[in-house]
Amino acid sequence: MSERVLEARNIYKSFGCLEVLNGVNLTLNRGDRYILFGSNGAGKTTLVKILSTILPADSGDLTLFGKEIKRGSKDIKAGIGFMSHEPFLYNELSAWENLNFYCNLYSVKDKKKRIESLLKEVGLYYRSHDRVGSFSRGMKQRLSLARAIIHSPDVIFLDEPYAGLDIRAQDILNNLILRLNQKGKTFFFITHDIGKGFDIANRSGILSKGRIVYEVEGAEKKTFPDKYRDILKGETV
Amino acid sequence: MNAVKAIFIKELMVEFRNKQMINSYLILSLMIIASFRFAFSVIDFSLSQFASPILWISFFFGGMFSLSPIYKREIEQGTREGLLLAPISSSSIFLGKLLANLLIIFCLELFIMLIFFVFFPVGIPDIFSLITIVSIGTIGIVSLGNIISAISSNLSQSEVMLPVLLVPVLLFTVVMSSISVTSNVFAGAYLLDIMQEARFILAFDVVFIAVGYLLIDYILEN
Amino acid sequence: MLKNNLKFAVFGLTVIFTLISIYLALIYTPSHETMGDVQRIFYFHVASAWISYLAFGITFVASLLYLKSKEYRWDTIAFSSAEIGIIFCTLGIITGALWAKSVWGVFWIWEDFKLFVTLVLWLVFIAYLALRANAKSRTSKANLSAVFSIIGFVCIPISLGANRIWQQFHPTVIVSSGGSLQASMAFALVFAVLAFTFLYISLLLIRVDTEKMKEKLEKIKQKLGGLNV
Repeated sequence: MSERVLEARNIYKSFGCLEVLNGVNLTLNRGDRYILFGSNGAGKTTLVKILSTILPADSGDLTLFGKEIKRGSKDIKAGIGFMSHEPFLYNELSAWENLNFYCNLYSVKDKKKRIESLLKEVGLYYRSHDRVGSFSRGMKQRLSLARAIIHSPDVIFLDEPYAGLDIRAQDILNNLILRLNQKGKTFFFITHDIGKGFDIANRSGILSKGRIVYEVEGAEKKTFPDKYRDILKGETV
Repeated sequence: MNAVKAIFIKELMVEFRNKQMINSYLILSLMIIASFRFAFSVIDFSLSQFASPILWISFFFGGMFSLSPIYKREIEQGTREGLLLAPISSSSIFLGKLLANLLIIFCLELFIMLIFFVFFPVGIPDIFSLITIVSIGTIGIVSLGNIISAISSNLSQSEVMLPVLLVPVLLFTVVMSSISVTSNVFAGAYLLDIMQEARFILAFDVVFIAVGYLLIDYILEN
Repeated sequence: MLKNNLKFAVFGLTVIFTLISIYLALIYTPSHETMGDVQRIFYFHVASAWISYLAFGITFVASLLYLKSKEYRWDTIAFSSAEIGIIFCTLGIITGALWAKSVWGVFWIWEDFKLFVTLVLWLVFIAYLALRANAKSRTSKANLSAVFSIIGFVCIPISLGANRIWQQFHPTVIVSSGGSLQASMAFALVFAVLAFTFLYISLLLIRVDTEKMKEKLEKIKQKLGGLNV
């Protein structure tokens, strides 16, 4: 049976008086490619930030790799990768220097080889020593992907990863996901766009009114788009 | 330690790559000293009396331009979460940025002092003592300044809030004592004369660094 | 029930002690030998200053407790105490200035470290409240102001030290406050401090209660708001 990589129970999060997450429950098994949908403002970004330990939840349990997440659990962060529409890159540094910096933070071994191979994989090797400030958005996102996986994390969280990507970059992303997934990496992504990424997912869910209200696996995917529309209609009532 | 070093180098690279930054600091130093010079040109004054306060107020307000972007820039550039994700402690972030900022502000103060001695025809005092007291005072300004900058970067009107928060805690502690000691130096004191006072200020510095180290978690976890 | 009874007891005592204290300060005690009746402001000046230090001490302790437990009630106590503290601090500075004018002929004197520390405290209070006004969320408001109050609290004795260093190496002649305290005056002083302490506690209780009611109201509003959509 698949090993449980992540378990979230009764996650609550409010911002002031606004309740964003109202008891989210989620499990991720090794090798999952889970895609979470939800309308804008449903709380997807908040949830993915909580799951990747950037943001603390107000209450609830979060277990990653079998260890419970408490404030300041640094070691678990080494196994987490996160890619968002913010590239987390320093404009004044070159592509190489950016990746080198993150290698130092994550204590990556054989830095030079790893940076080189990743830059080649995302197709940015020829721009290694150019300042990131001069990159286009698509290039920044590709570099951000390299940054997200440079420390070989076991779970990778993606927040609207296709936003701003050209077709070439989307293909690079999809290929990378599938290749890493075959090696046993787990993926969790969020998006509001039901068109992209749906095909590569093996599990899907919908976040609505602060809870995951619907989940499908594998072949049941066909019913998904209609169910999604129904739920979205339900939200405006 | 690895994290501290990595952040230290990254901060310096980001700061100095921005070529406009160095020019801006030079011009800033020039403007501050020139303002004082012209303000004082309309009255009769004893230069040796005012040298110390002018210098330290220049350091303080000039330093604020360097202090304000330390944490704000991470938020604006969107790189803040990249740091929070990494398996490093908040204290490492604090120390790395602190050390880098110390170096940068020392450079700024060097500019200010050079320009000061050009504009104000004051007798040059014992350089060794001057450098010592400036260093000790600066460590205080930078250590407390860094933590307050971390706080203010999370507030609205952060540019205004930085001096509002910094003045009550810095001016009456480190800056006031540094002005006092430096005026002794300008009056002709040597290193041995100022050692006792300087040790007090150094003690303040240690307290500030310790407080920052302990509290940075609560500021960055937002 | 018991809580309410206790509160009314405190309010009652506050009124009684304050009235007695006013009587003591203005009528009971004799005029000062050199300063005359103006000296009577001294009782309320010292009491105000002491209470402002107490208030900030409470803010400091409540901030520590908040950071440890993350319970908002400690944050409420912290800032309520600061709001009251700044009032007493302002009173302390104004009364101090009035007194200084009559004793030393000037409204302010940097060398007097009591005046100095009270001024620094006043600025710290203002900065603390300005910080809260500019915070972006309930949690960050609580977290950041708690950290700042700890920094501010640490800086008060340090600024005292800085003032002493400056004094030691730039000695100036300080006019002593003049005269020793007669027994009746000492008694009036202690009573003034007692009365102000009760006044502080009463105000703190009222302020914390008001804040709790405000939070309840916000929660109800949010629930209603959700239903109306």
